[in-house]
Amino acid sequence: MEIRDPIHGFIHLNSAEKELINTEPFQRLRNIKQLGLTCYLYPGATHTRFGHSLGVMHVATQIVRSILNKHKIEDLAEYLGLTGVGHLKDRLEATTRLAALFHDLGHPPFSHSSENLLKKEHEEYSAEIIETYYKELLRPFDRTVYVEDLSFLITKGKKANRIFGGDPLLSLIQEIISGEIDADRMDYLLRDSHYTGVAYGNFDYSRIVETLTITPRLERETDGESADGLTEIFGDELISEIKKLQIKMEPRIGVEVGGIYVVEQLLIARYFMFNQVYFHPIRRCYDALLDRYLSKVFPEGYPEDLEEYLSLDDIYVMNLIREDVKSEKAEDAERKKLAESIYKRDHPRLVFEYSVDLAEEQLNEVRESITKALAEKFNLNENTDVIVDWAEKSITKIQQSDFLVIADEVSKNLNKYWSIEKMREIWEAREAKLKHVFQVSDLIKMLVQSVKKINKLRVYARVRKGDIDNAWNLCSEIVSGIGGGGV
Amino acid sequence: MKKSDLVLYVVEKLNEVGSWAGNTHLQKIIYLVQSTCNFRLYDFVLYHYGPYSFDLREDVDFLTISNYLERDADEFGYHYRLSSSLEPSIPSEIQERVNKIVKVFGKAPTTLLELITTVDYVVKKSPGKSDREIVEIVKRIKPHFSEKAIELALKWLKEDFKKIFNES
Repeated sequence: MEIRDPIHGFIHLNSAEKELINTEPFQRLRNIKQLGLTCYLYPGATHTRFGHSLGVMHVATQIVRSILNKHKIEDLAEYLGLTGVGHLKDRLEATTRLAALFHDLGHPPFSHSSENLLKKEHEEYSAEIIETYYKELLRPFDRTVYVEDLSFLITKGKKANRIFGGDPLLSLIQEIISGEIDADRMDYLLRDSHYTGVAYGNFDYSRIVETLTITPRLERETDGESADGLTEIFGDELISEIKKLQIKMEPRIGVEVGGIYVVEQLLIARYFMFNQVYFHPIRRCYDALLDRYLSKVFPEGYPEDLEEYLSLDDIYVMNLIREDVKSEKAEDAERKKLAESIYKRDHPRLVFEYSVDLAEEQLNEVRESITKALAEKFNLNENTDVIVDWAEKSITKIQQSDFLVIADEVSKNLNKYWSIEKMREIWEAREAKLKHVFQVSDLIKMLVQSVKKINKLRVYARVRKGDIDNAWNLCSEIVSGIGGGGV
Repeated sequence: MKKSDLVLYVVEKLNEVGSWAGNTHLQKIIYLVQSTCNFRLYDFVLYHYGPYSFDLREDVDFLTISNYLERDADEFGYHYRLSSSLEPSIPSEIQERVNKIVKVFGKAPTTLLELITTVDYVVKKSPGKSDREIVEIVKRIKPHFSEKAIELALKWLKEDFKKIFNES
């Protein structure tokens, strides 16, 4: 069957995958908005984790196919240290598709907006849901998909699979789903951009998929040359065994040099989307209001029991909010006020905004002092009328990564396939033929040097328009006094 | 002891002994420190080059973007150093253990680190298994190592590793 998707066109599914999708835990994702209450700001942003999960599966599949167009399956087996091809191709594609499809199964209501209430990470819920509800349904994928592998991939190794996670194929799949330039990121940027109408998030998706490839890992000390001098500690025999080892052809996901401009485009798209959408002040304000409201509804946090947890979605929470708004009883006036703020779209005003790097202790002090001072000066309720928000994100994590670019002269000589000989040549001359992405691109270099991370301190308060300047000055004095520098 | 203090201390010591101080060294040294001490700050799983902690990697990234660590890169790869003179606060017995492990493994090739830490990891995760079974499991996980290398690594871990801490 196929599903028509506004981002990718037709997304194809086989009958066993269709069975997985038509289950309660997966259908629940239809009721979890991808961007929480961002639709209060960008009305189009009502898309859900359901569509995103299908999209990630589609993108991940395209990446696998692009790689298999360039590398013969026999060669891939050799890179992975396998003795034969076996079910490798099916396992690579099926495991990648299902890990991508299931990666967000455990999201709480309103996605990231209510993550503070989680007692464990949403990925851990995802893995538990798979283990509990999908073992039987995964039988048609016998020999190609293992439940433990999915848990390992989704929890990024927190749940080890049957050989302790030591499976090089899983490392490769992990990079396809949640690496540096991965299927998850590609789909959410395109999807969020489309539904919010913020066109900055767009990039040349088909070009990047086309140029992704396998590169060896670039690490200087993998060849055993520096083993001399260690014989005294480890003995002659062990060191000579280590020296005999050939360079390990462990595959990673990289990009051909022709893809560098689209990598730049993707990173810049991400930067814009964080500034324009994910960290937009109004969106952050509603995240905070929702978080405060839900903390009152679930003072102990979200339930750990899976069945109870799965009964929670956006609809459940919105019904609670509506009931609180309509309720005549005001047992908890603050809870009612928070519910009204969300239901009637009545948020506090932004009164202060500043880019500043604060240590955790400084932030706590700033938060406490500003809340108290504003509440006192303007006669506000600290829990419903004042919000001090800290939005922080490393935008250019790629700087920390091993994401590599294969240099030009290699890719020019290629025919359809990257032959094993060609790859061996790259492996052996890897220091000359491979570069870190930020060494090749001046733009990325500039971005990582100048924008290491976005960090914004924002204060919202229910003050009159005419009081904004006073509130700003008050916040500014407090931040300067605590060590945030001049404002 | 704060996790960040341990990371910063290990980076400092790796640089002192002239280690390349890349991600693999950092991961494996902290794995070995944790494996030989009675504390568990990070969860490790087997990954590209043996035991690996995603949380540790995130902490290293966070320390880097927060300017506690500097990450230098050149055509050979990358390595970490402290951004300024910091004094990480960790107990003296842990300091001593880190110093000794760094002295032995700080300049070791990553292949050796991968072998030793993988064997140690499998041993710890497989109580009651015979030496032969351990060797077979490691060979299945890391087929590029010869059986002989795995056997020798297991022997070294059992007989010689403790000696570096003056323990019999």
